[in-house]
Amino acid sequence: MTHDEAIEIILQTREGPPPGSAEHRELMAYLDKSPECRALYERQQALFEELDVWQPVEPSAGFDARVLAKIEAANRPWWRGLFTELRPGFAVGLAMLLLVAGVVLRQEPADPSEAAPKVAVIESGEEMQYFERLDSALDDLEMLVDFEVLPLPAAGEGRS
Amino acid sequence: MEQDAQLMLRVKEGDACSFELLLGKYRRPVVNYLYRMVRNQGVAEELAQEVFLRVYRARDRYEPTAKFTTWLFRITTHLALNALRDAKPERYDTSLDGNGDGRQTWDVADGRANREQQMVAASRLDAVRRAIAELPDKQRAAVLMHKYQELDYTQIAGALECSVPAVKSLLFRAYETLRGKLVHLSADEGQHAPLDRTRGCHDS
Repeated sequence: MTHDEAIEIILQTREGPPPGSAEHRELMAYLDKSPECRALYERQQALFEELDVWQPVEPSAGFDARVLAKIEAANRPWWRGLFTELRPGFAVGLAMLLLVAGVVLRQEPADPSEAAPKVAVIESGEEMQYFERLDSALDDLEMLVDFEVLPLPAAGEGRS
Repeated sequence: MEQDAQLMLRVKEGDACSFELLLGKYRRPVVNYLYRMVRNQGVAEELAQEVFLRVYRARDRYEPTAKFTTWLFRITTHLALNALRDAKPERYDTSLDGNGDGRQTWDVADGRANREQQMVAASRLDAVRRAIAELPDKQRAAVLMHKYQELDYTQIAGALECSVPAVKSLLFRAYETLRGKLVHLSADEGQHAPLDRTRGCHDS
């Protein structure tokens, strides 16, 4: 057995080779010849004993149930989460969305052409002159009424 | 083929009971390994849940090329090292008081001798935990898998994704550091100088 082999056995096996085994006998024979390696062996055994004071802890109750619940959640389709974990938020969000959509649809006409202002299109110069003359006549009439040259129209009578 | 690998192959085929068997068998080792890595039982359990979730999710890709424990501890170590890297320092128990959750158990109703024994035991435990906590992350992982989970060099190498000689080197350095720090706990305090691995004693 070499020095390195001995160190490997000393460090590798926590309780040392099984007593009575060939490896144990070989190690002990080697350690008898090497006080330095024996010292290491004893210190390493003492260290392993010291490390034993850190006892394991028990996992808390319900650990398995939590793992299985996580797995079940991971297996669910993503949209199912909207109706379970995110239920309150999702409901509020959906309500707000519907409200906003309702307001927007109410304000906007379905056919944009209906919303456009109706403007008379005057295409020819003759029509333009006719409307200018009509407008001038109406102004004259209004002026005559203002200067009381013409009697005031009776209630219910229009300009036309 | 080892039994755990067979169970995992059944999980791969959709057998939920086999997964529950693996969960029952490895719940405690995984939680304890993570607890000793991150020193906080609550965080350790959160991480352990994530480990088993990942095992379940990876069932379709599982191939029994190595021992199941090697694969399991590779996932566990990966999560632990990532958690330690990303964690805010205050999330973990750096004070090392009590059992890592702020709880410290003192049975003050006992006699003075018992109380002293408890104090000595608590002091030894604190020294051990501190010494392990102060190791570099990979050395700590190697020691915890070797000493407390009883994994062999090949399994540790698989879990840490490094070579077997690299594991031997990690463990050699880690145990040397621990012997140096915990030597005061031994009866033969101060009698031993650090060992030079490169120097032969009697290369017979």
